[in-house]
Amino acid sequence: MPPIPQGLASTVASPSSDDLTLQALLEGLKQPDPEVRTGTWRRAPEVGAPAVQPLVELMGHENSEIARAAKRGLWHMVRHAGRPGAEEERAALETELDRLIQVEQAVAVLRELLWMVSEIGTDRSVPTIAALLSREDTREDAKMALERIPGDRSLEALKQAIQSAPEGSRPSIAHSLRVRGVEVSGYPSKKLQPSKKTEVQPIP
Amino acid sequence: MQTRSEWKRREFIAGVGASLSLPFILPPGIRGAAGAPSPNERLTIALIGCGGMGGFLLGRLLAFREEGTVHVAAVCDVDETRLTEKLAKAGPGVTPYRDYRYILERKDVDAVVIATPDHWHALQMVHAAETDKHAYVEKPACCTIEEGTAMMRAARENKISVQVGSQGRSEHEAYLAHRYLANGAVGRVDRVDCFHYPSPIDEEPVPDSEPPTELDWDMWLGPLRWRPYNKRYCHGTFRWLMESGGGQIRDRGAHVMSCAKHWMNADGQTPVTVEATGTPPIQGLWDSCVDINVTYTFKDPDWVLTWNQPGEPVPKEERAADEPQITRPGYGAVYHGDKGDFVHWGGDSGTWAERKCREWEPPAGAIEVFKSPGHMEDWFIGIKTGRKTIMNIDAAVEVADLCNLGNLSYLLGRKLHWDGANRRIIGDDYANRLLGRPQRYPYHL
Repeated sequence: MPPIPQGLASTVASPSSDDLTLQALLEGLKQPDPEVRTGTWRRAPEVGAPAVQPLVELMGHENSEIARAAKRGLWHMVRHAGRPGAEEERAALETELDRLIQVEQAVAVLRELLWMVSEIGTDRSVPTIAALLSREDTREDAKMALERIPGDRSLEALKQAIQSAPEGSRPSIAHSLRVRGVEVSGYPSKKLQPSKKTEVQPIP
Repeated sequence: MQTRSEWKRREFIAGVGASLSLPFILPPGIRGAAGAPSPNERLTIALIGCGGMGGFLLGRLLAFREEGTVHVAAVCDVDETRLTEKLAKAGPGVTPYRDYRYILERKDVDAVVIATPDHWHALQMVHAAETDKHAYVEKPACCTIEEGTAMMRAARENKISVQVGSQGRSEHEAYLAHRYLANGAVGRVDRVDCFHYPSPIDEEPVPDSEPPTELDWDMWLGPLRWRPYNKRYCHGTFRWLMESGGGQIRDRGAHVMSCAKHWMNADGQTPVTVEATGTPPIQGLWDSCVDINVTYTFKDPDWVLTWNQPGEPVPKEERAADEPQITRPGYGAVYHGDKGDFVHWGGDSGTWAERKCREWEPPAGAIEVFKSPGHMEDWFIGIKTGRKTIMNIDAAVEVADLCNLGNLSYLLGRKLHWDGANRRIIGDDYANRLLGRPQRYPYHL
């Protein structure tokens, strides 16, 4: 395991063990002391892919600060795994994220996972993400994830989506295609169309 | 009466040509000889974003209106309470809007002042450019590298004048500091160390909730991905979230490092490496780092810029009662030259240079530097003549890049090797993926 990124300098408390186990990670995240929780999530990359599912489960914890610490630990792992030369580590993480996106999750968690995979995902994750285009509550986030993941497969998924998505979603998909350099006829962007009226009246 | 379009097509283009050879010569005739401008010199301006700096800038616009320099056409905010308050301040003849795009549809509006949260800056400036309007946009210019690229392109292609609100460059003592350093008073400067107190920790985290009825939450979020409302997002506190504010380094860094780039004659020079370490908050919604230290290295000429939060603050100097007082000593920078050091405090609307600089008398033949007529006044001249503004969009994006790359290095936990010409990180595909972020439709560039 390479050293934990020094970008997050360690000045808060963390578990004392030199080798952080999954169990120690999860216990540390549940501690009442916020400094211990923070020191723990910053070491999450030491555990790697095996921590993904437990952290995702902990993101639903009733204590919002514990849930937040789990989420931050997972995000930290994602950013760490994107470093040059960490292909195996990144691929293992992507595999876990991809698997968990396919499992029933709270919408807020699903959206978070979509944005994580948008940062490190590859062709492998595209079918899973594309499947969420059919859900109204995840469509926009899934579309944005596909917009960000490079490669022909994500592009093809967007091209297919504009054919099959509800009419109201097609301008948004057309925009993503244009971001990816595709010329799209029809579905002009509504970005400059005002739509929100104020109830405040001018002073006579 | 001279129309907006005529300004744009004729004077702006002509002015650009003139400004290339004489960039810092004040053009005559901006104001009439008798003092008051004629109606056809009056700019019609709308304010987008009424809170915080928006309230301050509205005050400035109303003062210009009193002088007869501008006509204030509209105010806009996504918070109806704020909008009502600011409309009352602006008075009759000013149209209120929730959606800035109604303003962009108006042909009578020459220019917009944008004082929304940071995640809106790029969109609104680019949209203003695309609808033929000049823009004064608050700092930092942008939240991502891609946004900055789009802003520079939009300003260039649509030939608009942009001033970014790093107004420290236009302060009197900033002029003195610039002149002092440009004349080598402390020799060759090879290192600038900025200091700033930490970003706050959210001491009162609260659960998500329904947004208040007066707030259009969808419109506040704009390009950001959807999430439930939490009252710790806004107002003002957007600064402590990475997505919308980026912490002190993007807030005040866009001031203090703006001064550094300007005074070091480094507009146009980009760092070759960026390396950050930092400490995250231990609780709460806010995720901008509390402490952060970033080192930027520049080549040809070689120098180092550091952002140190908190770093080593320099105690403020004592000043006589009749001198401008240093009211914000908690941030500033130390310039290290081979003949001595120079300190300034502040860097925004309060910029204070140490005494030896203020008392320095330029010798015969000294280098003169540009003296801004005032930050907004400088923009008005830019609109009317095409002269490059003191904090033009190219310079401002370079400064925002420093802030954004610093935060990115912190988040990724690794050193970034920056190719400023191509606006890419060298040898780091996944870092490059984070130079932009997808935007929620229809709130996109």
